[in-house]
Amino acid sequence: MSKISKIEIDTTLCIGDGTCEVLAPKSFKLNSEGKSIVIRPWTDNEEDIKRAVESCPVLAIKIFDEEGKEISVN
Amino acid sequence: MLTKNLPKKFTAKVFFKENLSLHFVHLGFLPLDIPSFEYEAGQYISLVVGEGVRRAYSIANWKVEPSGVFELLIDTKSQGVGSEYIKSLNIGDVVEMLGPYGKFTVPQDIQGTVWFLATGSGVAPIKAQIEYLVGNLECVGNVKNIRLLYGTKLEQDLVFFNYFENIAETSDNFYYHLALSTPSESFSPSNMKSSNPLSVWGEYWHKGHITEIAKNLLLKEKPEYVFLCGHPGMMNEATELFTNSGVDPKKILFEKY
Repeated sequence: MSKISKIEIDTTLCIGDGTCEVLAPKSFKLNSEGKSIVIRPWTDNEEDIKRAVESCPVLAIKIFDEEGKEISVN
Repeated sequence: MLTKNLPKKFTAKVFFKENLSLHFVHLGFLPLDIPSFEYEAGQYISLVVGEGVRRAYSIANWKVEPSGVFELLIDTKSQGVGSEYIKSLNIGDVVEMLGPYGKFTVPQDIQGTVWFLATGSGVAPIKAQIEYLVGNLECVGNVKNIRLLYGTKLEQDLVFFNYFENIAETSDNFYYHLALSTPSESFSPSNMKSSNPLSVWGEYWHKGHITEIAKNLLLKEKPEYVFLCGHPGMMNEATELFTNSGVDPKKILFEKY
């Protein structure tokens, strides 16, 4: 299984739903503009982060492995 | 913070589809592979509209049917990937979606006078919230008057007109106000098939914006709670108006579109 080495959030897509923050609270939080940001370093387990990625209503979160390849969760 | 009803992935069948206007499509979906779809009035789903593409749409009804069918109201004006997908759907098609999402819900301790302001397809979550409140007045907080201020540009885009009018007729404390910003020259409220004797330009029909109706109503009534959904300009103007009128900002609830 690929190890997550990078998390990216497209803030133009993010609608501030906050599901990512609920599912992986040590990795994501909503900023003052209501957009999700990545807390560094993220400390949730990989399954929780993948659930957060999959659950984003607008697919604004992308995760990448150590080779820079996007990890698909859908 | 969203703490319950975490989103699940499921499939659903298109149960009905009707074009309410040139751009507004009303669809019903029957969930297929989950025992029941639990959501709160005002929440939304994320519909898979293409490979790796999802779009968020508000649920437009509160559960009154044991069938479990839930509704969406979608404005297809943008002609984007989501709109084109919606237009391509037929009754019986199976779609994939996730949900429910969202925090634009009715507080359990809601009380006093409640105003809903909606423009365009922003009326979708508002319709669900009104159905929830009107149907549960005895067990949800202590709600007095409920007002819906609903606006569109053209008269053709006024959706659910008879539906809301029926609620206004059958409920003692629901009031329905309409605004058209650019109605056609030939339009008059009396053209609408309405049993309301007040179908004239005035308190219940306004040529302009719903925030102008709100300003006039604020002279005689102050809402305890305000729900906003629709055009960003309306939302900003309404938020400023109600805040300046002394409504607790925590009780101004909104969903950005």
